[in-house]
Amino acid sequence: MNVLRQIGAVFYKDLLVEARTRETILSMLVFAVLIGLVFTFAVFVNQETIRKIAPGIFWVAITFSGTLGLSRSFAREREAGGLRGLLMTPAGRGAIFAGKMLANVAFMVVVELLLIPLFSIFFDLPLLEVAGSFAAVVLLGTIGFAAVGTLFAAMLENARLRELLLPVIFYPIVVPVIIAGVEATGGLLFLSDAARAAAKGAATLGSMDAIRDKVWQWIQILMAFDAIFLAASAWIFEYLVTE
Amino acid sequence: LTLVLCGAALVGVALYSIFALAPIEARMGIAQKIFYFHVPAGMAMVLLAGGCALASLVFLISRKEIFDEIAVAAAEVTMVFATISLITGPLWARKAWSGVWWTWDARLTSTLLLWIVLAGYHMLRGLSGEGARRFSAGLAIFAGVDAVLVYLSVKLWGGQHPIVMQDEGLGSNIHPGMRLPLFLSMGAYFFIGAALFWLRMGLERTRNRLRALKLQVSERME
Repeated sequence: MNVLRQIGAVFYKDLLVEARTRETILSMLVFAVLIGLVFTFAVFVNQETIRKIAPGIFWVAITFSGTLGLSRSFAREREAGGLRGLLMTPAGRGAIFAGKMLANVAFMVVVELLLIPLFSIFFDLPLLEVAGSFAAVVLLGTIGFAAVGTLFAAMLENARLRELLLPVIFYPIVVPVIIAGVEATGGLLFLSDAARAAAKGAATLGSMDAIRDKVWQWIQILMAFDAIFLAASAWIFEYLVTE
Repeated sequence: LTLVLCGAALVGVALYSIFALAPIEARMGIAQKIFYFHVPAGMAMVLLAGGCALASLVFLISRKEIFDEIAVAAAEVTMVFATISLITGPLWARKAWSGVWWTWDARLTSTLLLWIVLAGYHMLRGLSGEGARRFSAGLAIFAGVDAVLVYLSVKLWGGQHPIVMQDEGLGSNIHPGMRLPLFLSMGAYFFIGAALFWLRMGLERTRNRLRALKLQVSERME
């Protein structure tokens, strides 16, 4: 109970700061939309191809804007010596990690909630039919991303060249999550398209079950990575963040 | 010097067996010889990355300098072997997979990731100053996870990369005449890997002692 309250306090603190300043989420969102635009123009061939690439663009936007949020989350602590203050409170390291991580997940989810409708309009993505599974994929991806990201952002808090180092060491670790996210999203979109075509009277494709299996497989991989990353990050955080 | 001589001898024997004893493969021709360089490098890479992660784990818990020295040495030698695998791999693939250097196969991707993580590891050590040891140890644990992924990748995701580590025993799917050269080559690789590791660890030890001594001197001056 006590631990839960500590986590809640750290989480609430980050949310409160964000509610007062509104700087992180806003810049994350604008950045994500811009990435969407840049990538669209970079790879645009025609409407049909851009739809196929859309899952990739979506996850790239989440990755980059998420990184922005992560470094903001700890830059804010640094400016006022906040992390030291946090460590001086009776809250355990694990609780601090969990609170910060949940706050980062929350920011990313808010951005995603605004980003997803935009993307589904831009790229004509049939997401409503698979809303539940898609939400699960996005949430799982976000959790895995934020778990490692919070750890790395925290440990680079005082490092020289931290803005440079964070992506360099963070992206290679988190790439499996992104791959799984893109694959699962692509599979879901395919299923949704096929279901729509079937509703119009087109013959159902025999490969739908195979695709469904594949999506499920990627979701399982996402869950496995989330479990590994959460456990490893929470554990390593206790040893890394000392003073 | 003994290390160098032993290493040279082992390499000589391995090279002799590779080029003189091993049969020339029918489809690949002489290019199949790359196999004897690629496979042991990959194996040494996975083993050393695992060792590095393990040492880092122990270092985080115990804070004993020696484990950090082990981890640095292992990480650096891992990088050497990862580079060898990544160079010899595409050379092999060009011949075996009809003309492509690279595919985004699970094992290739995870190996490339491991290489990048290791590069990040060295950057982190070089740049982040105080606390770099602990940070890089944290990173190394993730590198260890990736090394496990490299090992399991073919079994989990399939892909084009063949498996040498069969369940029936190492290399049981390889022509018997090729087995001895492979094992000799593995011996040479592992020996050189161990020797490099040992020397690099010694260097790190000396460096740490030098730093400690400098600190003492500057304290005494004041």
